[in-house]
Amino acid sequence: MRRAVAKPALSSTGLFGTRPKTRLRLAIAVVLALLSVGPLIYMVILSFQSNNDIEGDTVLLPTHPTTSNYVVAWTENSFGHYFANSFLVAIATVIITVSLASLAAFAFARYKFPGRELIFYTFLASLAIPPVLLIIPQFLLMDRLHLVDSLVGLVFLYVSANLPFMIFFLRGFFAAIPREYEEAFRLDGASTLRVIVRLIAPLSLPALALVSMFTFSMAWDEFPLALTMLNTPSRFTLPIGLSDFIGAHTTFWGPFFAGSVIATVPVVIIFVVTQRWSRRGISLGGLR
Amino acid sequence: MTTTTTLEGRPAAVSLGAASRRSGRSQRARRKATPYLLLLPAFALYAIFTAYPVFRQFEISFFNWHIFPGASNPFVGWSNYTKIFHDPIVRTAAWNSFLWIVVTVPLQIVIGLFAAGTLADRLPASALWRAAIYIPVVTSPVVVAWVFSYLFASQGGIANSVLAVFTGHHEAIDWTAQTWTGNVVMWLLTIWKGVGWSFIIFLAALDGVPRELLEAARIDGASEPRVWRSVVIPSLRAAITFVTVLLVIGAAQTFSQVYLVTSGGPYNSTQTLMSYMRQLAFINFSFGYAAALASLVALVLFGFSWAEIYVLRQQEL
Amino acid sequence: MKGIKRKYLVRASLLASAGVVSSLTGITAVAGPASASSTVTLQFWNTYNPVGKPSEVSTMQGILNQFQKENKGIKVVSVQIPYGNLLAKFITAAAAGDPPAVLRSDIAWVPTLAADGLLVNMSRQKWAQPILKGALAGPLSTNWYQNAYYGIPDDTNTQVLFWNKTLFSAAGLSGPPTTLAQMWTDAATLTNASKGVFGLSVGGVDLWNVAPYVWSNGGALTNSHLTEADGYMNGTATEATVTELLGLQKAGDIGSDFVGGSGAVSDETGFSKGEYAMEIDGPWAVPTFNAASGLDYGVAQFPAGPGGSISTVGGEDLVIARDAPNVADAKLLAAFLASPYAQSAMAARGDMAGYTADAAVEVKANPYLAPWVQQLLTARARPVAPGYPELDADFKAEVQEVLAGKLSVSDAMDTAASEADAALSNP
Repeated sequence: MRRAVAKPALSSTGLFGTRPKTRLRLAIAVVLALLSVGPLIYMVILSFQSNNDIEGDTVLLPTHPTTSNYVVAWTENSFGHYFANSFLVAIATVIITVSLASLAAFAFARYKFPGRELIFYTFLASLAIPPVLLIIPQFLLMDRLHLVDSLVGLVFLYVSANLPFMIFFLRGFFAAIPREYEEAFRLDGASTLRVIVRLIAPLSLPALALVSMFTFSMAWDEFPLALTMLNTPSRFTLPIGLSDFIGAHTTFWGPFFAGSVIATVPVVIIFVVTQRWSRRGISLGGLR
Repeated sequence: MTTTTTLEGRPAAVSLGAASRRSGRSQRARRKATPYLLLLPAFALYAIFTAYPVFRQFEISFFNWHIFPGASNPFVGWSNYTKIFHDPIVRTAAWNSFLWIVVTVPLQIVIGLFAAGTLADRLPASALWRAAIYIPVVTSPVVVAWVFSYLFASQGGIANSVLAVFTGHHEAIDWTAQTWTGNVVMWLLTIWKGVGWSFIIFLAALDGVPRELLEAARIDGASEPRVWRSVVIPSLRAAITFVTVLLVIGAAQTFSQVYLVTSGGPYNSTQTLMSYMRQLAFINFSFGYAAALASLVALVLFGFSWAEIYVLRQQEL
Repeated sequence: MKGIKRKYLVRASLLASAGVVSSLTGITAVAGPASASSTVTLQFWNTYNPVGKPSEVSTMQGILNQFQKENKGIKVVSVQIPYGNLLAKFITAAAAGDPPAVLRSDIAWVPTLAADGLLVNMSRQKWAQPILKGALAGPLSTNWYQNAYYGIPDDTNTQVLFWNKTLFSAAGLSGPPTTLAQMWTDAATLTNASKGVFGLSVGGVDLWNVAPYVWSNGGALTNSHLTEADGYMNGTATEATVTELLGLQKAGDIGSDFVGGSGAVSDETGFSKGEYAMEIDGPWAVPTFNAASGLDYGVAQFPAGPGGSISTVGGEDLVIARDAPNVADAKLLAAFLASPYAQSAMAARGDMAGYTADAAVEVKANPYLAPWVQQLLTARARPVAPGYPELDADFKAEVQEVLAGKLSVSDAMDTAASEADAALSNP
């Protein structure tokens, strides 16, 4: 297979040409990064503050540092269980979404067929639907399908929710791949499926990486649907587990923050992993 | 005719010549079927789990719907829709949603683009900066809302301290007690949380800018601004449209921030369309009315998206 | 050959979609609870806290284990749902005809749920009669809807006055206020801005926090039939109370949680740290205050005004969904949860019993509950009407308008009253 790993070329092919302005860009990058991550670092700091001291005078550093919040978060509530459930759901959602979305996006990008626009906009239309209310008809449906209180059912809902956006997104990327590549492939007798898997996918690695990441984080952080659909505590996902710390009378901010920190780690890892993939992708120009 | 062996070990034929024209018709039929087959799994799933509930919701909007199965649900036709136009809260909520869009979307695009442009080329530890900028996107909205509440605390909150340093305004502002400051906090939250998303998309788009084109243009002696204008920006157009459409839709559908940040603040004045819908459905039990509002909002948003995509398509041609 | 490969594509996509469809139907085995056909599984939804040793969750689990021991063949799954989402989740499930067997509902929701026909009418249940008769008046009243009771009390609570002994003596006050008038002046006396001390903490502007002041001051919120708020909510005494509270707020005598919002110091936290000299709260605060270092506090009845010493009734009721699966078993569970055994076990954890007989017992077992038990004798429930949540939200919004300086108290109360009328007339 012709697969070349292109490195971003230096000097005259960088975005900024021969004056890459590295130092300036680095400075800006640092500032942006700090602004983005600042509040979260603060949250991490707070997670080491004992629960009672969190409210009240804001402090920059914990006055009474402790790891008790983490212990509480992990042990009080079958956190490990929630973690595993969320992970299963998220991975399943990613795999199914990426596969189905790729096929569909390819169809939209490459073929002209009656109903193409109609079907495409049908997918798109759901993005405009406020999800707030949709929960009720969806629950009614799941109930009838005997999929209530089921992680599998949740996966179906998540995939269905992610498909429109991912299809929309991938279609643009696929459309940008020159047809010549595909024709060269087909000349060798490849089937459509083969074209998609062996040619389009590697070429769109950045896009697929993004799609995987978006889907993962959506499934990982999703709360309303999970809460409504699941009834058995052993099936609960992480966001539900976290919200247990927000009580009717009092909120246990310490464990809540600690739990949130724990919950954020996997998504960050996935981000780093997918970023690696997209770096290995072929930059389109490199094959000429 | 040439034959090549495919992966499956069967002889393949390149379609030239009479022999393949014989099977041309069935081939064409199969080729015609291909896109539909590709679409089938996705569409099937979508039709069942999203499209059908949407239709049900639309259906509900024409009734005065009571939740108890078996209760009578009187058909009320369009009256739920006409109610919308006479509801003063809808006006406030729509205005808040509109403001939300107009303030947060352009800023997220501009800052995201700026960040992407800065980080697209090689930079030491760029993976770190990219990860840092993106992380807010994947953190839980509940957590983030509370952290921001903490930062903007009326007593001793860091925001107030920072303000004092920069503007000498020492009196602590109670951010969520007044409508407009409460809105500012929520907008900041939205922008902060959303920038990473548009950033990452623009980054991917910039990664796709054909480098040899850039090189060629520069070799030809084009000035930097010219290079940007004729090579970079056109490659970004699709991404910008995409991001705009989705950010607008997202901004119109913000709900959790409102609920979480200002649940202690001026209640009705910071309602957005979404929070109002939720209240209608789960506190006032006016499901039909809520469904009507949802359908109307969806229609408007969809119309906007369609229009924008249409414009982009025209430009592409 | 393209055609041959096409066949594989066809198969692949058909398989994928068929897989989707068939897995939908074949999923039941994976989805539902894997229980033997003879065992009945009941869902019990609540908002218990998992934190603490013992926690509400673990205490309840002990109770449920006992129930399951006594009722072989019934399995109970206790599901904790975040408070802010519980009502919505219940409604959604009920809409599909798939509600839990028993719901530990906030008392404020019972009339609304009853109005929508979702609940079993307890007044018509034989087994519930002795339970209803043995319930405390205040908590029982929260289940009332159209001349019947639609739930049975679970736990109850009310709010009494916590006062910081150290701050009181530092301000030269010998003891807690026994009258409202005294409370107003004490609040001002105790406030020490330079030390960051507030005389009084009022947890918010909603009725749970404000009603005790209104009622004790002789004011009312609605008429006794819960049909009219005009003339009551904007009555003289009510308006005077609100004005007084807002005046204290302006003078800086009331803590930040009155206005609420971001970064406000909650009443419990503020009191623990000695920033609030007085606050009214429920028995759940006691463990927190006991754990606070250096806090020397006392507990007293809510100060009496022209209307008496009337605090709010809070707590939860047990309701059974009409559509619940295994309704007969659900009734067994509900009855068990209301039994002295369960009630005293939870009372030890701070969830006070809603029944007269248990009150004496729980004080013996937990002497610190005595002030609340006494306060409960005169405690009143907030308007028990389906429109209550709306009423409360409107009241809160109007007071916030006054706080923002946009309305006068009388205008705000007039608006709140008319909005309340609308909420009350909307079943």
